[in-house]
Amino acid sequence: MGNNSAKLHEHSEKCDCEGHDEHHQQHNPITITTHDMSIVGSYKFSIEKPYQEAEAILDGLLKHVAKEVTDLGGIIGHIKAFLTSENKSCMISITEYESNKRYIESFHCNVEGVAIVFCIEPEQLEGILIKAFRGYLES
Amino acid sequence: MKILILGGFLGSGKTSIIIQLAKYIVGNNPENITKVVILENEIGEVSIDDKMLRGGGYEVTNMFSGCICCTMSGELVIGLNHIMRDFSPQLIIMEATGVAYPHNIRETITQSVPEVDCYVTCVTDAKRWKKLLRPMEMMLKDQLNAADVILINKVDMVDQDTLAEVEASIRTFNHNAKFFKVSAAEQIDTKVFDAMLGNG
Repeated sequence: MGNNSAKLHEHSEKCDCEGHDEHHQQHNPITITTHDMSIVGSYKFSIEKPYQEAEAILDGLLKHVAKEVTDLGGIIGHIKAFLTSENKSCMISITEYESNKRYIESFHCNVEGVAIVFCIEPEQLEGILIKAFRGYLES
Repeated sequence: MKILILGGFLGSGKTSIIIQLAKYIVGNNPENITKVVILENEIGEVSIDDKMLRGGGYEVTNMFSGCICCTMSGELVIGLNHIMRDFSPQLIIMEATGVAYPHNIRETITQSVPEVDCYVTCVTDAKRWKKLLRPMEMMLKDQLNAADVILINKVDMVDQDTLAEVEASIRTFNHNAKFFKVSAAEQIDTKVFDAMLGNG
């Protein structure tokens, strides 16, 4: 808690913390856990596109995941992702008195997300996420 | 010091309501910022909601990869003690995961920090209630049963007949709570926030 963003409880496949009933299948960058009735898929990947284009791509990917889940009879708790991009960067250089500015537009966006669903198997959610994000997981 | 536990099923609008509540408490006075700490709990291996809350001026801490109503209850007690020591807030707003049972969280808090006043508000989704009711009935019931206040959110997305049906259904799970119909997409009446904080 000290840095306001500490991950207080690090889980792994060999996790043996007391009272812990989650089922782990570590397949980075997609992780599937179960909690009570819910199946939780966490994912991280990047999209090598400008922000606007990446936003549209991610929107489509998440809608695809939602459809696949419901097609299998699953119930969506929520499917969320956070998209970030540096967007524009600028280098300012001075050798005498005047500055020289060079702008660089980023073509790299990071995605972090979670899909929490019910009434399907963990393996099914994992398969859906891998299939949907396949083109971006290794980028 | 008060602790407000905000529970409710996934996607019901808890984060949107917290954003408005925190703004209401902090107001335009920068000195009030230190009064509020928001504690986010997320079940996934990555945190999302805290990113939406940061930048509002108030302190936001998070606990993810587990649920503070069960697997992370020990961490909850430690985390609360750290927050009280580091920030001395007047109010901690605790957003539970969408699969948490708020009565478990309240029990943990009242046992470990008995000196604080603890309130529970649960948010429900008027638009999805009927769809979720059958498959998720037990979870919804157990989430709502200890709430002091129940917010029926997204009322702008259903017609009056549906809303009446949804409200009647929700009331069967908890008829003692104070009920408010809200739309977090619009400005929420301050009397709702006062009720959530035990002032109304």
